Amino acid sequence: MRHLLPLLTALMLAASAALAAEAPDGKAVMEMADQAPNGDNGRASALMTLTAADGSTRVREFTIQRKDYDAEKVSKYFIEFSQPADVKGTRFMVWDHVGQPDDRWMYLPRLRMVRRIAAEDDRGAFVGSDFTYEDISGRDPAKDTHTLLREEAMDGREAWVVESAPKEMAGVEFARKLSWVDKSSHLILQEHYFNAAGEKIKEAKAEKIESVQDIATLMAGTVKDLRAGTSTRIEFSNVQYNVDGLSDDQFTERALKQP
Amino acid sequence: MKTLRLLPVAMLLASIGASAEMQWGGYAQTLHGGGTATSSQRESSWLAAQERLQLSLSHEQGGITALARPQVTHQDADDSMEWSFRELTLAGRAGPLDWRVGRQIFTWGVTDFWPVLDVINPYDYSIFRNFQPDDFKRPVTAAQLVAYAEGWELEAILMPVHEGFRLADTADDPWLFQGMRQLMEAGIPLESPPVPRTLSNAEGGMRLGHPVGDWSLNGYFLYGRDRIGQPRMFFDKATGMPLRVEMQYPRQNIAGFSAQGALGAELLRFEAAYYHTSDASGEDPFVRNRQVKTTVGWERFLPGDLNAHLQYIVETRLNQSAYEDHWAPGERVRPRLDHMLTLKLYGEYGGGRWRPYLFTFYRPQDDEVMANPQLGYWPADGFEAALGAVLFEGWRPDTLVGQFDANDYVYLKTTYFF
Repeated sequence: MRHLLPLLTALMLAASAALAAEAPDGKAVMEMADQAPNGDNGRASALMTLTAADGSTRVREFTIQRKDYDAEKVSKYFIEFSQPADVKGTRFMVWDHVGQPDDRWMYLPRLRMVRRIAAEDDRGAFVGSDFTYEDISGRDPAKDTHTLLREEAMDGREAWVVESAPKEMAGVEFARKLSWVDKSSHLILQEHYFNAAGEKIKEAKAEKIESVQDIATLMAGTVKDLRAGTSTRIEFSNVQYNVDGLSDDQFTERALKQP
Repeated sequence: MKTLRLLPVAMLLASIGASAEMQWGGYAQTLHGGGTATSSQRESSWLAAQERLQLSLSHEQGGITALARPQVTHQDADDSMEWSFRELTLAGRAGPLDWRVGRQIFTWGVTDFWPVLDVINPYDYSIFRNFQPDDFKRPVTAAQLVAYAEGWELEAILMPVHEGFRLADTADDPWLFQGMRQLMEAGIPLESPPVPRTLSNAEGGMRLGHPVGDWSLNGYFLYGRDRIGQPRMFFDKATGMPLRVEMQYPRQNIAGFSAQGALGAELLRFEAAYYHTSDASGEDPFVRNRQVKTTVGWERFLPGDLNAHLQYIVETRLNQSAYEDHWAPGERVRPRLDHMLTLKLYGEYGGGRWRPYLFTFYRPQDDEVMANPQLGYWPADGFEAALGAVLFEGWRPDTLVGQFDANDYVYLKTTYFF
């Protein structure tokens, strides 16, 4: 027994150390999710289906290009709409700065005009959908405090469940959210948003994940606004990472006028 | 000769039509509007209706893009049809150079509504009706070349033929300017001879742009002519009575500067331009005087996803005393400083189904206000029904808005995009 006690103590210490290594804290999980591999740049076609409370649907179809500039702490996005017809040919460019307001431009083809446009709140609706701008570009983990609640399986994947609360409530519609982060790919599998009264107000779910160029990629997902009764499903196709020829020139006012 | 002019159009359309990869789209639109009060100018209420079809056809081959936007408009009042091209261009890229030739639209400057630097295309002032917003700008025949290098942008535009503003020119048109109406009522003929098509009358512009930090800065120079036109009155030497009025487009060169950038969530815009005219002394009553025009704009999203854009515009006449001493008969003397404010509010709600819009223009020294509220309803993608009004409030019949004080109207516009 005298010999067993140190051994047992050593085993317990080793087990707790191993558990600590496998279970990072909530902040580390959300940072891993924020930095999930997605190449230095990427390109995809997107089909967004917006469903109103009465069941009627609208479609937004666009191509999206992204390029990350890590040194400058900015990701640049170039979006061109092909549907619906009233916005066909309209182009957006967003320079998403870490910790600063975005720079946004819009090209109106009928006026041959590139306009700098005011940056909506990051929690504002992306092209009238249930997605926010932050859902597209990713919410900076530094904006929230995070707590790892548990680990559980979800849709056959092992996931960390993290509770996050905004440090600043101004301009944020949720008081806390739960995120299910895939342990292997670090993709967010599901998110539930709650208001200050504890009511669930919004949920987002990844519905299809595929490996593209060995990078786990969200191919389809749905966001539901539970208060408004609306939902938006997005499907990606023709996804490419580290695209040759996706030069800096693709993210300029010149490209907005003549891609 | 007309056949020769149509030849490139026919070739363009043929090449587009022959292509299976042609991109196409467009819109069909109906608009019905009616005056809400008896017009002081027309002595009767009026009703206007029109239907329009605009196509957009484009085709890219070998790095060259052909674009045609033909448009046909039918006016119910006189059952007339009008064909035009909103754009008809060929465009391409050669290394750092982008080029475009043909009938085209340009946007210079960074502000809205009151053109300070947006002076390439003439405006259509024969309508104060709310069709598509781009209707107010008329295309010009031009060649454009833009060079890009190291963040710099140098644009050159050449316009071989002068094209002026379009103004209402018939006595029964509710949008006829008061001064023109008085001439017509006095039986004085109004002539509008075109500017001769000579090399010396060609116009051109240059723009040089470069970002500085988060700001986009541009400098502009236009060697051109007054696009609005100035009525010059000719008198009988014996009697001193007016014989005729001729619309003229004297030389007018413009040099200006614009800046646009963000301060946090606020978007700021600034434009200033010096208008140099041939009447340097300010003593010719029929030539516009030298002016400096400035616009400051502020835009941001307000709570409730409402986009607000406020502009302050000021025009400064540089030789006011000479102007006051030699002002044209019948014209109201303008103050040295002309202040104006515009406010635009816009939002999208219900997933884009409801789109309220409000535009207002206010000029304090003339006690005049124009407002255009509109509610757009989009029951489905690509279809809009919009109910709106254009309201004029002015106390003097010889000011821009005041002369249309009784011309308030409501309209219903339906548009189907395809």
